[in-house]
Parts: sequence; C-alpha cells; structure tokens
Amino acid sequence: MLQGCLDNLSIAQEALYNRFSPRMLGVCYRYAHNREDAEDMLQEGFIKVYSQIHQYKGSGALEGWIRKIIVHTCINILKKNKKFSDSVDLIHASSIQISDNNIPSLLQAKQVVECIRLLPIGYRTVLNLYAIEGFSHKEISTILEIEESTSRSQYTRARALLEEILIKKKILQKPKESVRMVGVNS
Amino acid sequence: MERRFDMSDFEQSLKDHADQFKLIPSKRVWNGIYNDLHPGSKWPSITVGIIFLITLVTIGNLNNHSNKTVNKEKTSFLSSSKTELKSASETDKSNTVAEVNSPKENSTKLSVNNNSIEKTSNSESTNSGVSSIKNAENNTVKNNETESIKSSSVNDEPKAPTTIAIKSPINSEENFTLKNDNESSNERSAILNEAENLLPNVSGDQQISFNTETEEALPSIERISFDPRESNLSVSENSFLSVSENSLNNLIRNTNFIGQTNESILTNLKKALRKKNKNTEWIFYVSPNISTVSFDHKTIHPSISPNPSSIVVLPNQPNASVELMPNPRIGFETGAEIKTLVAKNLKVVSGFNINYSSYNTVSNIVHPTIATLILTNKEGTYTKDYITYYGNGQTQNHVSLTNYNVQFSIPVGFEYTIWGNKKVAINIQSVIEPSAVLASNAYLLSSDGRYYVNDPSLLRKINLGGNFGTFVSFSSNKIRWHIGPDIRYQFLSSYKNNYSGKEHFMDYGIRIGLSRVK
Repeated sequence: MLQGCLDNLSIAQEALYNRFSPRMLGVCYRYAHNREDAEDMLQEGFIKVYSQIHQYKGSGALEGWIRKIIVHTCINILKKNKKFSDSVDLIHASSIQISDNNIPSLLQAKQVVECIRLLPIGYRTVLNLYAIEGFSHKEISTILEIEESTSRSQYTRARALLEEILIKKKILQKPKESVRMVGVNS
Repeated sequence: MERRFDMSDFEQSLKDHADQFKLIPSKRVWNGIYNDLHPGSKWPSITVGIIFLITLVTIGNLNNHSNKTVNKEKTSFLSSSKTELKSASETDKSNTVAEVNSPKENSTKLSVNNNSIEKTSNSESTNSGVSSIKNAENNTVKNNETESIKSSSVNDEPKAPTTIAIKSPINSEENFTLKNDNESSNERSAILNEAENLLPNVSGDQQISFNTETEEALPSIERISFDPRESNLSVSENSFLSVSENSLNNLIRNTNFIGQTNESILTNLKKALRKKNKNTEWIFYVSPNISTVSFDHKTIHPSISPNPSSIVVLPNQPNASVELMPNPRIGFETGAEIKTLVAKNLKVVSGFNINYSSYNTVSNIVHPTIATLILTNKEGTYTKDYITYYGNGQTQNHVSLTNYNVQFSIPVGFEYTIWGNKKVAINIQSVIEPSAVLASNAYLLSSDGRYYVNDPSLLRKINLGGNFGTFVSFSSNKIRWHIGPDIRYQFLSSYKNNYSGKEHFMDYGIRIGLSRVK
C-alpha cells in the first residue's frame, strides 16, 4: 500500500485513506469548531500526507506519522483562521480535589470528546496537544508560538475546566474528599 | 466495555477515550483529495466538451449560410422569342418533352419543369442508353428505348406535338459547346427564356444556388446537410487508467475491503495496472491549420496574395487548361489518440478525429447559363447540364464559393521516438486515416472551364487521408504536452470517379496535444 502511494496509484491512496481517515477525522474533530471544519482539516491533512509520503522512512508506526501531520495541519489552520483570540472566562478549578480513589463510571468516547470540544479553543488545543498527543510544553510553545509557562497554565486551567464539565455532565462523579485518619496511640 | 476514567492518570484516560473516537468522513473529502492528486482526469471531460462546442459552432455557422432570402427583383437577359415550347408549357404544364434522334446519332432528351432543366444525353455508339425525362408536374418518366423516334421540327404550330430535336454528338475528346447549329441555339434560347420565366427572379448581385437534384432553386450558395447523429463519436470521459481503477475500486468495495489491508491483493492489482498503464497513453489534441487544395495532381502553394491562381487541366481535356483562383482558408482538426508501446521507441497509434477543410474560389456572377459536366459511368460517357449563375472569373460583381469537407476519421499508424527521455522527446508520426464524410460541398468546374456548378451527388461519402507530423513532447507538472507541425493530405479526390476532375485537400498546421504524466 505504501509503495502504491509512492507510485501515485489512486487505488493504494484510497486504501490508505479508508484505513486511517475515521480515526484521523476524530482527531480533527477535537480541534475543529464543527464537523465541516474537521473534514476540511482532514482533507488538507491527507493531501499533505500523500505529498510527503516519500519522507516516511519506516521508523515508527505509519499511523503515528500520519497523525502527526494531521495534528500539525489542524494547528496551522487554526492559526491561519486566528481562532486563538477567543476570550475565556475561567473557572478556577483548583478547588477540585483529585483523589486517589477513582469512582468507576461508564464513559463513552464520544461524550468525552464532546466535552473536550466544549472548552475554549485555546484550552482545547493545549489539552489536546499535551494530554492526548503527548507533546511537551516546550514543544507546544514552539508549535503555538507561545511561552512555555503560558502552555503550562493553559493546560492546568483546561484540565480543571474539563473535569468540571465532566462532573456537570454526570460523566464523572465528584470525588469525595479523602479523610485522613490520625493515628492515636493507646 | 466499560472503561474507567482514571483521575490518577488523567492524561492516559483522556487519551484512551479520545483514541476510541472515530468518525466516518463524507464522500466529498475523498473527492477533494483525489481531484487534488489527480488533476489530469479532468482533461478528457474538458476536451470532449471543447470538441462538442466546436462542432456545434461549426454546424450553426454552416446552417446560417443556407438561410439567405431571395431578392424578387426581376431580371431578364434573353430576348423573349416565343417558341412552341413556351406556349406549350403555358397551355399544358404537364407536357413532357420527348427527344428523338436518328438511330445512328446520339440522342439528347430535354425536360422542362417549374424549377429546373435537366438534360442528359448518352453517347453510346449503339444508341443504347438510359435517358430520363422529368415532367413539369414532377412525374418522372424513364425511357429505355434504344430505337429512334420520329422527330419533329421546332417550327411547328404552337399546339403541335412538342418535340424538339437537338443533335449533340459527343466525343470523349470533344468539347460540348452550346452552339452546335442554329437550330440548337434557337432551341437553347427558347429553353433559357422559359427557364428565366420559371425560375425565381434574382438581381445581379444575388447569390443563388441551383440544385438540379431536388429541382428547387435554392436562394443560397451553400447547402448544409450535416447530421451530427450520423457521426460515430463515442468518447469516454474517463481516461483508460481511471476506468480500470474505477472498476477495481468497485470490486474492492464489494469484497468489504474497506478498513482492511490485504497487501497481496493490492500488490497484484498494482502490478497489473502498472504494466498496462505504462504501455498506453491517451492524447487529446487540437490542430488549427491552413487548408488548401490541389487539382489534378498540380499543387497549389499557400499564398497570402488575395487572388492566387493556378493553372489546371480541364477534365477530359489534357491539352486544354484554365486558370482557377482558389483561396486557402483556416481549417482545424481535433480528436484523441491512443498510443501503445510495442517496441523500444515505436508506438502504434490509433484513435479518432474530426477534420474540417475548405477553400474559396473566386467566381463572377453571370446570367443564368447552361453549363455542362462530362461524366462517366459503367456504360460510358454522358453529359449532365445545369443552370448556373457562377462563372470562372473575377469581375467587379464577384463572389466567393466555398468548397469544404467535414470528415470523421479513424487514424491508424506509427510513432517513432527519434531522441529523448521521459521528460523531453522528439517524435515523428505517420498515420493513414480512413474517413467518413459527414458534410461537404463543392463547386465543380464545367467541362468548358467557364462555369461552376454544384452537384452534391458527385461528392464522395468515404475518403482516405494521410497525416504526417513531428512534435516535441515535454512534461510540465502532471501534464505532458505534444506540440509540432503536421500535414494532412486527402488521397482520394473529393469527387466520385464519375467526374474526371480531381480535388485533394491539403492541410498544413500545428498540432497541440495533452496527455497525463504517469
């Protein structure tokens, strides 16, 4: 399939597209404002994939390589459309305690993604890049052309806000505060 | 499966859930990607559209020439000498004229009807032959008699039997002149006078065409009978490559291939496609050219002179010649070729194209005159007379007569690469083109070289041409260009063998072709 794409065979290109496009559209959907924008990002991303397919050396999974291109394409489109200028009303979520005891609950992937999409674009992007894509704050600062400290603070706020949204949507139960028992010597 | 959102590992849980999320994209996404990666697939559709558009414009222009109105201003040029023929036609329009002659002499038969005069004569020494008599009321009578019929003089009483004898011995080397004897000239004057009265009146500068076949006076020079339904164009909008891939894509979909990788299937399909596609190439081209003509194997060189002339030998008269004044015109050819690699630098060429060739002849308007063509058939030589308004000359009152040919051809031939590589190459190509004549028109020179007559029945419907050219092929982005000069020559005359005159179209032009880079 890879060789067919290198030979510019449309049948191989379509096979590659059919294999990876559903997951990649999910990636784009987390960055985009709506589904149409997500499909535009996907289209542009795959065009870049086919044009740069000769640069794939085989080290690492093909999906990871494609995903990287798709993410960069999404970021470039957002930057081009100046989507990061949205102002944000922050709900400081530092009061939410994160306990070690987790309450198991039924979580749907779609619900989680939809909750992520509820975040403001700036928070959402940093959250996606750090928590899901695995970029470091230093890399995020380079990609988004922001300070590293800004990336850290944005992520902290984004995570807190996401937790609050998950709780409000009853996807996540508010953790009970842990009680520390003070040992008493008898 | 239920998954716990582990707050202790928020990022991992978030990542796991996000990775599970999938969406199926709409078809427009793949269409947009495909069109961006393979822009060449648009070209067949665009080229077919251009061909169709050019064909429609050509048909429209040619049809518009046949819609000129006739000026009803009356003109007369012959003295109105009354003959029994005229009076007979006035009293009884259903009269037919039967011609009589001695058995040993050639007979000439005349007929008069409302719109035309047609006279055919047979020069068989045994006096066997066929003559046709057409009634003024469009009743056609065919007389196959070979015995002589008693003739009567022209000078009979007006109500006497209307028979006229005209002796016109015809020799293959002898001109047919209008003045055989006084009797003949008087009879001709009578006929012309009658014709003048029966035909629509026209002014000197009107362009009138006379069709003896349909017995109608057509108020136009050019008559078009082009039916695009007769053409056999069947162009696929997809290139050969994409057609194959589309069928393969359908096969893959039907086998639930989506989302699954079958390397062996893809590899085999890829090998088969690659092998097939590398050897064939579709090229779509347009070739504007200058269209000229050669007569009787004498070439006329394209000239920018407003009145280029050429000396040609008259049909049936090798020792006599007249001067013609044809003017070259712009023509064009467009079509598609498929080339298949059969050897290292050799390709077999085939395909289809439409070619338009034409030239103008300067003619002076004359009074209605009988002009004669000497024709041949299996049984020998015969003559055919026409009423014409076009003389072979140029005066102040002149017009341009257009001879043209629209042909649909299927070229078959070879292309050889002289020099080059995948990016740039120089090729020579030579093809033979059997063709079907879709539309044509021609003004034939009369036997005495003094007039032009129009008879579509003498034009061929099937012809044979040859095309030779050299061109440079080079690639630009995803398109391959093929540009170079080419020459097309019509091997067979535009006319049937009945008419001894020969006309061969020659087109000199530049071919511009496009194909997809593989």
